[in-house]
Amino acid sequence: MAHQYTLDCEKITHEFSPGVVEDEEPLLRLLYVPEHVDVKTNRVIETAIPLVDLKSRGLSLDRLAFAKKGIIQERMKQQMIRDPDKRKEASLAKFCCSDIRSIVDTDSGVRKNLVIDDAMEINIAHASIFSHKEMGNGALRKQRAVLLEYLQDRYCLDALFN
Amino acid sequence: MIDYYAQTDTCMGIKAISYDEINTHDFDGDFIAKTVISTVFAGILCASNPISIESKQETVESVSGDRVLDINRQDLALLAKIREKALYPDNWDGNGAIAVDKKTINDAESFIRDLLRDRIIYSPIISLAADGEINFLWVLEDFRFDLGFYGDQTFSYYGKASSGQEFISDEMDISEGLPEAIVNFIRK
Repeated sequence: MAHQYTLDCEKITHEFSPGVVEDEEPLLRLLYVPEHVDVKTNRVIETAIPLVDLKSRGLSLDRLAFAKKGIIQERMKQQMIRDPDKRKEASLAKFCCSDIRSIVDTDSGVRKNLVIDDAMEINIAHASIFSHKEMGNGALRKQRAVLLEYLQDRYCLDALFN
Repeated sequence: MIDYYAQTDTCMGIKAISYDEINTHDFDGDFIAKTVISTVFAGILCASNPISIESKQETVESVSGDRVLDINRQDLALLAKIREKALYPDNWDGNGAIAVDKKTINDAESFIRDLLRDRIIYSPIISLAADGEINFLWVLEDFRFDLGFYGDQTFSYYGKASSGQEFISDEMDISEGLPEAIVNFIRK
């Protein structure tokens, strides 16, 4: 089922939230090698962005300004245990919120993505990317190809939090 | 839906059955046991349940005598990679991932079988996405192509050539196969 978010939802603060996601905020996306990275080219691949996330679940992010190193570290640990062969190494893609919000349809000028404050009690830094408009899977694949370009700048946890 | 390769002492030559047929056909126990063993040789077990190369080779020989499975064959290697994805349970990523559906496995197999019927292609990266998609990704010098299955007998894709030419489909029937213009990019 498609999500119900609109552009106005970007201006709404949710429960547990430290505030709406500002355009200039740096955002993080947790990635694993080799699950999400082509080891030959060292570039993040398409399955790092599940279509269902753009469509309905939301692509999970952490807001760097509010993220806690310990929370991300524990998540990495728990998720790497589940599939150690596909998750030999964890890294965090870092990009600016405005990079994502400024992606528009070249014909209509309509924004392609929403970045929503999606704070949770256990992680107030949680945010999500959703596709702005409902679209078919082929179009969503095209959209994730564009988003992928912003996931290529990756850092280890210590580099971001020390 | 014939495609599962195994050689046994009781069944001469190559016996071919689909993923579904393993459970639904009335094969004798001996054939099934040997088929399961042969499946291991094709590398179908996932990496989280590893089997050493040496033990695979030993069992290949004990089951099939001088008729050894050719695990270097492109179709078998790709089918093995597809079936490996069936072993991932719900929540395999620790973040609510969906296990891949048998129908998705069958669709991906049908697609690859047709694609390799009369040609050799560049092998795609085959992966499982958290939403249950089996994804084929070709990262070639002049073409990047993202194609996936969700088990509804269709596939969708998006590809872009270095020339800027784009290929996109929201829903294409498995039986239609890939347009020739795309096949030309991924053909070896």
